Amino acid sequence: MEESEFYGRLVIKPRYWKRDSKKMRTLETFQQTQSRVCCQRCQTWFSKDTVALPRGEYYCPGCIQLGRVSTLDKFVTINEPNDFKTLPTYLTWQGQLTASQVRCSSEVQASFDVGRDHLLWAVTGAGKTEMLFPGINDALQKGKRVCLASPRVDVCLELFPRLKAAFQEVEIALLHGHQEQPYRYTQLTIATTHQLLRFYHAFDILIIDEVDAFPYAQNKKLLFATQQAKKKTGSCLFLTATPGDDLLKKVRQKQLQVSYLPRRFHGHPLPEIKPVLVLNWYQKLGKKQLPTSVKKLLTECQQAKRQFLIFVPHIRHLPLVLTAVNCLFPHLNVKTVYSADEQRLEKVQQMREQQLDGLITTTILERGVTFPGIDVCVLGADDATFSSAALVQIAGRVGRNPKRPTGNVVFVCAGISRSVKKAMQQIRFVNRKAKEELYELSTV
Amino acid sequence: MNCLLCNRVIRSAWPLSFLLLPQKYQMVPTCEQCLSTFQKIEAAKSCPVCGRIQSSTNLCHDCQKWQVKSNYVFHNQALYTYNAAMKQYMHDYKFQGDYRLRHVFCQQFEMFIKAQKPSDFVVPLPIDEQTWQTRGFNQVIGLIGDLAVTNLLVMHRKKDEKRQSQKKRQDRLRTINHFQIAENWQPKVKNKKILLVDDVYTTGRTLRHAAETLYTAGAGLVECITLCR
Repeated sequence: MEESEFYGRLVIKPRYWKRDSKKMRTLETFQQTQSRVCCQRCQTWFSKDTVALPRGEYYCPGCIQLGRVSTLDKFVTINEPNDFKTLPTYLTWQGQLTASQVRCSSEVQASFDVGRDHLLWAVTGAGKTEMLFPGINDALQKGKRVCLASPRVDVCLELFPRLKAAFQEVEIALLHGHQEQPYRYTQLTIATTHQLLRFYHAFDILIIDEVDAFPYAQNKKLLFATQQAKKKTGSCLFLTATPGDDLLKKVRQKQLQVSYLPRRFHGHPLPEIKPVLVLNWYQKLGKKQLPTSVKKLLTECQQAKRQFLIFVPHIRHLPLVLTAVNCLFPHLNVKTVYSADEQRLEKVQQMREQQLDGLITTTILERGVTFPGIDVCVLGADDATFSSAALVQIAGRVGRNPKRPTGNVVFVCAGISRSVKKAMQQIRFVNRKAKEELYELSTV
Repeated sequence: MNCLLCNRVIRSAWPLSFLLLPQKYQMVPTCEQCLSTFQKIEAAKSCPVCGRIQSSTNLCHDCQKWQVKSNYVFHNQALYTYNAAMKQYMHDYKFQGDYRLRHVFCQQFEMFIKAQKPSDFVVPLPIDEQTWQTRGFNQVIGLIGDLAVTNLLVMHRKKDEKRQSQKKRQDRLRTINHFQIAENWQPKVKNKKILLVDDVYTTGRTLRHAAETLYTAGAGLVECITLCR
């Protein structure tokens, strides 16, 4: 193994492994108390009897997918030396940013310089990635180590070619669970948030895309990973369209700087949610009927030849909705799609190519997919599976086409739940912010 | 309680008798769905010597070859087939080292061993010291659970030699015998009936080495049991 592979990493070293260099620091793998042990990689506590190995040793089942950590091993690391050649400029991207994008971008850059945490709250479809380029470029010029992380592999896979095209002069490593290429030391890294567990005070700049997405949100292990992966003097940038309560609380307490980008790239406001109270929507499905508002929406779609998405809370609802839709609208070509579906990608592709009139789906299509000019309907929006972030993301699927920046978002629910209410408030809030911003720009 | 394999919540039925009658609490380690991916072997539909699943009770292809080469009594019985689900399980349990997964088959395997004809010693196949240093547990002892076992055998392997699981079939068959009788046990084995326990029977080379070692020391009868074949 080359020495550079240890820079800012946590590498597991078996006890009998004797080769040491002077720079290497050895760290303990576990913190032990009377009855519990705590893994120093993922910071999870386990009771000793569940994770005991026969000869008085312990291991951590929490992060076992990244290679087992046990009391048989030690961690070795070498302090991050920032051993990079610096170039005058890295950015080979030629595009132009809009005025509000430039404002956010410079705010982010200022935070990077001071080394504080920052939240970039940009609505769905605002062009977040491009906004980061000047900030990343500046950091690279100063010899800082930068990482772009996301909880979703698909997001990482999509970011990689875009960054590669924008920064052609610098090597980029892409790290995720299915990566076959071995790790190498690079100045710019793209990784899933789980991979951050392997780093130790490595990054000056750590950018986390889609912070509110599963599994990052509410996952203490990954929150700890971000703290451990960045340097103590480093700064963290959170990107999201739907910040959760924890982040907003930090903003209110002034612990976190925030930049809003409330307008979409085409400048139109987000379509607002229209909640419809239907108490017996589930019983109606059983009788192969749909709520009147959904029927109306589908009729409209059929007449205007628009595509639509219907979201349901659980996989078991999918066939019910499909039979009801097929019964009432026999001319529509509709399919269902869910996480374990083998033809998941094909069906989404068919939808993109306009071969399908609509998809019935669960929360898997809530983010990361763009179908221009669709309408959206959520059945049982008050179900616990839909968080307010998920609902805002679902509503954000609509109106992404500059030619048709509006659309219908119908939420069918048996009662307005807290998350539905919050989603509606959040959309209204960003729309108001967008108006304010427009006003400010016009007065300047 | 979550399923050890898929990490979903296990929903168990609570019949009236469960609620009313006092009984020992039994931990359910896996959900029905995960358990159904493993395929059980019935004794009536398997090879009488190695326990491989097949339609008849004739000797299987492998065992016919073994019969020519060996001159001792050998008999193995297995609980499950080594299918894709089992392969994944063995990977997670043995090679990734998730020792909690021993609970998945622990109860059944224990019952299976108890259901065999009584023997003088139940002997799990040993692992070498290097494996103890890296893996930290003997996978067979983990699977056996609370059953009383005797560590009759020890294993010594050269440091640079590959493990059986890393070799191809022909190389596996060519492996030399690494097993020895543990100190002070040599005289106590004479004419005793011994039950050998292992996790996987693939070519049969390992188990036969162990059996040969025991027979040379004077054991009366050696029988084998594995979790999968």
